[in-house]
Amino acid sequence: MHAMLKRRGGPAGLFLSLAVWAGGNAALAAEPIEPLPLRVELDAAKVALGNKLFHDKRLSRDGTIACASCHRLDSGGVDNAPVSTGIDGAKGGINAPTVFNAGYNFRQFWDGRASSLEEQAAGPIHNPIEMGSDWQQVLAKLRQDPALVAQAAAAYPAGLSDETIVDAIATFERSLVTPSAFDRYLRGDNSAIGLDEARGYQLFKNYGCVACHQGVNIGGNMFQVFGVMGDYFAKRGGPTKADLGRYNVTGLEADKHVFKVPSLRNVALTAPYFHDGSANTLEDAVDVMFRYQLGRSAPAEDKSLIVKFLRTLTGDKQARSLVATR
Amino acid sequence: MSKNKILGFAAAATLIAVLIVLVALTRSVDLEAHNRIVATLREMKQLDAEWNTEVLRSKTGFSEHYDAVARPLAQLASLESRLEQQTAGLIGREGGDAVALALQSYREVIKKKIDAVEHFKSQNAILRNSSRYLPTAAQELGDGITAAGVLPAEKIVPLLADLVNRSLSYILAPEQSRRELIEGQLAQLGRLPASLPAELAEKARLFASHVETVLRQQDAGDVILGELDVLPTAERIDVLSDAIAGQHDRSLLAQQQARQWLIAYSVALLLALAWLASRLIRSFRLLRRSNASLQKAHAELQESQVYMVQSEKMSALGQMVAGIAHEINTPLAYVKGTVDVMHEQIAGLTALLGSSRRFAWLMRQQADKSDIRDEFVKLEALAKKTVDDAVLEEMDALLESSSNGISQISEIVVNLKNFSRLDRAKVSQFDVREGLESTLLLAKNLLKNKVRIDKEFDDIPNISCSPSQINQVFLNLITNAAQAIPDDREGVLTLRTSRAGTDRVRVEIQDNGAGIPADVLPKIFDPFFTTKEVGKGTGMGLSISYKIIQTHAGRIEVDTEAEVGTVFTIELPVQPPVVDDDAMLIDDEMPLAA
Repeated sequence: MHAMLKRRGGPAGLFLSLAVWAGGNAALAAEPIEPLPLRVELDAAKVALGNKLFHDKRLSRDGTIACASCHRLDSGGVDNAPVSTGIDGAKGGINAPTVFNAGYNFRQFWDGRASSLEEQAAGPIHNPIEMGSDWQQVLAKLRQDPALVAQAAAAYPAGLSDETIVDAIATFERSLVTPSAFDRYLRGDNSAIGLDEARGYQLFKNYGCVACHQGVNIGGNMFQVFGVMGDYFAKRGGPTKADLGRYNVTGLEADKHVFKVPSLRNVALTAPYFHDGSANTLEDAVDVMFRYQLGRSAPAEDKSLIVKFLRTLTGDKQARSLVATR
Repeated sequence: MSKNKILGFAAAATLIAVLIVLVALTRSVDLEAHNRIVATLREMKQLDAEWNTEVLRSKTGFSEHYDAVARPLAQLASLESRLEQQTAGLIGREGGDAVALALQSYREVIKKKIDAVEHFKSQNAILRNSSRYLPTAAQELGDGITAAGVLPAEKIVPLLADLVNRSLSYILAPEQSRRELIEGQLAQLGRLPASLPAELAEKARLFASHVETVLRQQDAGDVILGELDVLPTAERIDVLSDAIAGQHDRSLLAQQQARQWLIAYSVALLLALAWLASRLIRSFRLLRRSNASLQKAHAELQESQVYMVQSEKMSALGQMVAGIAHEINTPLAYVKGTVDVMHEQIAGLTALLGSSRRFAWLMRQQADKSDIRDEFVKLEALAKKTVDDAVLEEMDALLESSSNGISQISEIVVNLKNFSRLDRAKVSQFDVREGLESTLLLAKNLLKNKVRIDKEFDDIPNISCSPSQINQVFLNLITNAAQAIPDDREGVLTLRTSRAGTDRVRVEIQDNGAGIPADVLPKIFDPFFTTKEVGKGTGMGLSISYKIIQTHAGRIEVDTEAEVGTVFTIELPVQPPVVDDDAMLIDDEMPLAA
């Protein structure tokens, strides 16, 4: 920050003393982004069961959709479509967020209506245009599978039930942690990312992106209005119910167009972007953010450096298991 | 099980249930559970305080990210659900309403706090973003305006610097006067764009909008923090603690009371037990005493029964002896008569024999012819008289008569023997009809000239029984029947035998007597019951008969109608299931005949 002000020359000194409140604490405080933990301790049997169930299409009414259908583990934990396709080809109302590192989100869904992964897991199963099923159906189908029933009984004293199914899926999802080059950089390995990427990170902080995208998940720990500095929705047109965001949950006027700030981990893999899947590339998304959230412009070079930084957030190996058997 | 027994069990069960309930009540307060609740509440309060600190750290910029502000959400939820589980047992009890109410009001306020914190985070991020950008934006705008030569640097830069300065100061101290100054300067800046090139005008507009954002977000933040400040989460936790503590105190008090009740109840139970025990001992003593007197009475009764049976035996014997004496007396008198007649005849025969001997002696001595002649005449006269009087024929006839009489007596003796069967084994094959015949003969004296006997004997098999006992029954019944017939009426005694099914024999003894009165009927088989005058009957006859038939696995029934008669029906098995000598114990006490 200081360096940048100096580089720009002019009456920088005038503002220097005033900048202490705005950015000066960076020297005192830790980085606004924290690395993912090196180890995740979970019950391996539950993770294995959850893995199986995550890929199990019997969780949907017609046996065509599994969790993994929309949260594809081989493509960033998303389906790369603006909105997902449920049973009978029904189109969902909102872009599927990634399942990777979802355990570090403070709430689940774009509108934060689920306070835990367990609460979230039951959602799509019952959503008529997603999996369109219910526990009675799901359990009836799954109980005909002796191998699965035995596996569930081995993992849980209670055996196969709605509660153990969501617990196993949530436990599996917590194992989907994707440490990246940037995490190594944060841990002190300065060569883990290139110079451009490191500059991109500085810009990311300086331009204020980090005001919302911070914490271990680089987002995912707060709500924010979409369109702080400009009316995104008026510009885009075609308002939908999903556009109302958290208002749909709280009914508070202040929560209109408020969404959970998404995690930027693996963001290079999760196009298209935003709840409406309106931005096809990272560059587009960064432009929208500058325009409507930061309310400022930036040189194309700075933006491209920020995009370079964002690419360092892609996990080394997708869905690498950090699970240590407890 | 009797009704009293059931009542007793119910009473005991109730007493025990009350005891169990009281014991359970004294254990109802789980101190550990209460301690766990207190610990949870303490954690909740701690977390709430930490959360407040984290919010302030974010507000003041000491915290670079919101993870620490977001993290308490999950902890709050888990603490709340833990508390819910821990207090689930309290709600519904006395004072539980206050706990539920306090929990509910805590939930309401914590929900508001969560919402407020969320809004704070959003607000704070925007505020920080704009405030962070203001110096840069001011610098860019100042550079641009100076470069474009619209205004000299010393005119525009102090204005912008002032705006930035004041805006950032407003964040630290949002005073209305400062706000007004900022708004005045913004208006000043707002007049510039007309004279600016488009790019600079946009920059000016952006700068102004960020200043406005700072003002707006700072005000909004103040409102939110003000809300957060007055949200009484800690107080609600205290209220909740108080409610739980109050209930805990009440539970402890209730437990103490229950303990006192338990002690009182236990003492009462012990006293009741002691009373019961003393009663038991008393009744045991009473029982022993009455048992002893009963035993004595029983022994006396047995003694008197032996005496009564003996007396019955003697009375029956007396009756029988009278009958038999009469039966024997008649032929005996007859025999005596003939013997007396023969004794008288003997004198004539003696004279004849004497005369014959004298004549023979005279002949041998060759005595006087006159003596011989005299003797001859005498002998001839005697012989003639003997022949003429047919003395020998008469004697022969008399002897025959005597022989008949003796035969009659002999027959009676045989029957007597038959009746008692003393010469036979106790249990043997027995023709019931034969028994009836012998009995009739023995009772002949009683029946003679008074009762006509009708016998309707079907062919029946022999039965296995004790003949003397069965005969005793017959004699008893026949005697009773004969005695039941009034003197002014022609008595008819009907004896019937028949088969009853394949393996039983039926004997009916029917009279046309006066019948048995209804009030007497139920008692006729009772021992010592008699309608006869004192000393005439023992009252044991029918009772003994009943016992005999019972030991033979038979049945005796009576059917009676006043002034028409009575019929006793006996059914006996051809082969009694158990022919046990012990079962016939009464035998030893039986009279030979009634």
